[in-house]
Amino acid sequence: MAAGNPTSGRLGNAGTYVFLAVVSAFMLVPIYWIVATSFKPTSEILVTPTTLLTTHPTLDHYRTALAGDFRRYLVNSLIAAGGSTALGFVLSVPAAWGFAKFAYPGSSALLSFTVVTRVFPPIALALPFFLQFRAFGLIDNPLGLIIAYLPIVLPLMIWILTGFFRDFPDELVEAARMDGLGTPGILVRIVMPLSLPGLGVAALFGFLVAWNEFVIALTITRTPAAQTMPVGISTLITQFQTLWGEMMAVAAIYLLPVLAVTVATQRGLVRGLMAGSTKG
Amino acid sequence: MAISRRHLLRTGAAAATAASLPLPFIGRTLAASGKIVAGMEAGSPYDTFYKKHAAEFTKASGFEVEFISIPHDNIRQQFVLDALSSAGGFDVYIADQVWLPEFYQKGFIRDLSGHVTDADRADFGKTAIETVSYQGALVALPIMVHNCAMYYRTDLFEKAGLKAPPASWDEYLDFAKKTAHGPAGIWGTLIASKQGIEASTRLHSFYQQAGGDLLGADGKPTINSDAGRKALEFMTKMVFDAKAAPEGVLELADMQGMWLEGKLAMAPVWPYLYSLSKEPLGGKFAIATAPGLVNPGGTVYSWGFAAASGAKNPDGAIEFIKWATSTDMLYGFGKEWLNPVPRASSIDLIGKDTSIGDDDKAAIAAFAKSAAAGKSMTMVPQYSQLLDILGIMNSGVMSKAMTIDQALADGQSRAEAAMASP
Amino acid sequence: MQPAPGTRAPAPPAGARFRPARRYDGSRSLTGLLLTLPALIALAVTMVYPVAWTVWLSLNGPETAMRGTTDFQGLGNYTRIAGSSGFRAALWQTLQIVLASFVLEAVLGLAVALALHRGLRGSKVFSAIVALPLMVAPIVGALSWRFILVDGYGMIDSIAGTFGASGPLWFADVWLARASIVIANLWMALPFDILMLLAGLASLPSDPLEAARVDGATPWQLLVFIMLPLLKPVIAVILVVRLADAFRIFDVVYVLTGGGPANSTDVLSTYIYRQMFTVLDFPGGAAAAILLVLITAAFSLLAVLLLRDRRPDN
Repeated sequence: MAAGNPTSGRLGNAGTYVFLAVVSAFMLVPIYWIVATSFKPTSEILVTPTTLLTTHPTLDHYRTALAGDFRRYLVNSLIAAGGSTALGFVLSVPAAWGFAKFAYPGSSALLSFTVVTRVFPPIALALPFFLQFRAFGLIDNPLGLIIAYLPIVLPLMIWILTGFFRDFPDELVEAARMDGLGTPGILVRIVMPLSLPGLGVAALFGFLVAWNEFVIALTITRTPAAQTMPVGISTLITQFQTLWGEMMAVAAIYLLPVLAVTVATQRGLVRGLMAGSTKG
Repeated sequence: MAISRRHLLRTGAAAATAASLPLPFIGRTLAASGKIVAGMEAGSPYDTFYKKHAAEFTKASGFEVEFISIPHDNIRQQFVLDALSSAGGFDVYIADQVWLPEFYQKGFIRDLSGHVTDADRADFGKTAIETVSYQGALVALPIMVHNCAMYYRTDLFEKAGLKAPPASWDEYLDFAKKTAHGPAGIWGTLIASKQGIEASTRLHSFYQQAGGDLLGADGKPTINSDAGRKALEFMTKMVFDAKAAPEGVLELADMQGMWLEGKLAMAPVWPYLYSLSKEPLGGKFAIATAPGLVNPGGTVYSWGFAAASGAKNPDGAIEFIKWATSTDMLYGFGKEWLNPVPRASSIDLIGKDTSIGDDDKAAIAAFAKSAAAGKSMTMVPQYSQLLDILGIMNSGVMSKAMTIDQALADGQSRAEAAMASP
Repeated sequence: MQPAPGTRAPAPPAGARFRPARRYDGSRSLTGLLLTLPALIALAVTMVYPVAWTVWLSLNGPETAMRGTTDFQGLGNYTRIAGSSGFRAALWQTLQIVLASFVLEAVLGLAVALALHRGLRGSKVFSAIVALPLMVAPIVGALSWRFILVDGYGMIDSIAGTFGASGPLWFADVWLARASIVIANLWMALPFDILMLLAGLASLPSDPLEAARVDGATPWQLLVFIMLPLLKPVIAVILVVRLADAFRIFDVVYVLTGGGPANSTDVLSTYIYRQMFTVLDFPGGAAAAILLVLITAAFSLLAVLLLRDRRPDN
């Protein structure tokens, strides 16, 4: 793998490690603060100077968090993010393949147009969604969230996948066509297995946008029956106080499912690396 | 497209209403045993309190209550969206006094005048009623009328040889210098200046304490005034000259955290902090009215319940408001949260309640006194915008991004533009 | 007209329609249409109403939002908003933040991706760490940064304090406040850039690289003349997606600075929010939202045009 990388000669191994360590530290500091705070007793959270590690760790915040509605928030988040990612996947893979390989009059304009839906400020979407969804009984309903997240998940996935599909070698497509495969067959049996890095990244980011979305969820869900984690977390900031400990415990719990998704997609990335090396 | 869709929705709603008209009997039965939707602030004391007692209301009135709890940072936005969409998502909701004039002007909320007796008005008292009155209408009923009171540390005061809380700005500055103790990381006080509502209400308090206000008697902005200059000068003196308060752009959360941790000798904060302070500070603090240059007391704000114009169950909404602001409920609320409550009869009951400790009674009395000394916020629909302007001025001056002259001039022109807008 | 084996179908980036004399094959066009239609219909169905509603609001007077009556103002709201000093300041500040973020993201993102791509021992651990910020809800990430930076007692101050120093007052200075937003935003955005580039690097064909190496190209030449051109489609995607995100940055600003001090970190999304919910100027807020969409779309189009795939078929 290193042989394919032109930077290997420029940076020594030690230099690379130092650089990666510095970047990792930058990435980890806020997360460290979240996790460290989640184990601190309330009296120690706002202490100056900040204690880097508590000497009296407590699980109180986790108990409070798990005793509340947070399990429901977590399940709702999984349904909304998982559902919209799955739906986005089914729609975006053929669309991206079409945009990348089968240009038709106006197709590039349409591709440009899809990104506009993503730029739309969520706060401007929230109210029209509310009005529209109310008519269909989709308020306070996880299904409503899945639909509402399509305009933000789908363009992202289409864009990511189009970027990857453009580079897909046409020789392979042609060879498959000679073997008698139609477009759906080529897509499922040739293109998708060989595009795992792209598919993994698209699925991961599709999932994450939905997972972290706040404004729309706030507006079209009203009770813990359909509310998601970001909404739940924001209820811990009140006019009078911010429940730091509980909030950070929730944030730490919130890390776990996505960590699992990332690890899963990383496997895809690794397999993709191998596919890439055989491909050449 | 959009228009026709809206019209469809509206026509549909109108048709539904019309269909229920020929059957008043059924309509009434439905209403009496119906449900109301109440919008609350998630995690707030009133959210917890009223949810706990909702069953009593249902038993007494026959109305079920569904509470929808909204995070604080988004609560105003949600009520605005609901009104804007004529969705009727809420029948009644908790409302900040700040919103009342503009919500009423825009037709989001209803006049409650017809449902409040003279005896009730007298029981609430003049100040409390003023905080919910706009253009002759009673646009909400209050459950809490408060301002920032001066919390001070009795132990640190004693150490500095101080006997009483500051009674003037000069004393405030002087006491802050005397109680600040660098090596222990203790500051005399804190001036909140992160751009946002909190910093804005602080600056408004300083304006009033300096004997001025945001608008003159003619309704014209008086931001660029002697009082404004004195207010901003006092704030910069405290931080940059006396070095009795920390530099930097901080907010209420910082002030509260530092107070609870014992790092502030004086902190002007809302009454809710009292019950939170008891344990960490072990009774070594007391409450006083915030000092002034001319007038003592911070700007007074109330929270209350307002009835949404788009309510699906308007009768239930009125019943709920009457119940939520009744003598008994406010007594219970004051007792549980150790807050001053806006009804003389409820305060009487709290005074007579032997289960409430003398310290707590003294604190409630001190908060009530502080609120009585203060002056209400300015009841104009543009008040949110005025707050926005004060936030720019406060953060601008305290970060030295603006001079006091620039801030006053800039604030004045922004305020004039805001007041000129409909 | 099937392309001959070994030739590349001309890549159709979004700007491709500006290419003259393009010929489309009928049956391929139909296939393309059929493949893309379901997604386009899904987007149209979910977006037509919100977009139409916002546009309608922005073309009418203030009574329209509340009463549903038509009070057509033409482009009046647009000229009013575009001419206001508040909108212009917010636009200018947004552009500054977008530009600063982009330069930092491009340099750091590429450097990290290349370092990880070397596949040294432990790379997998590093790439997992680098991806972590993606999993933190933006509001929590922003709060965490506030605690790290907060004036006088943040984590940086605590650490500086142990050396007898004090950290800078991040939020009490116009430029440091802007820098704090860029830093926190970088933390949230960098993982996307890195993972996209990493996936792009993994998909690179090795033939051109080997050929160049055999020809004696230096690593720097390999990067600039071979890898980056090959990564163009991925870079275009990163640009377009990050542009959209950077232009609507909200949580970080709201939590860290509230738009201050003195409105110096006010950005378009906070401006729109204030216009709609503080000023209750719905037509103005809607017009500003549409302007934001148009501005971002223009920048995205520019990015796509600049990164148009001009590679000759190999």
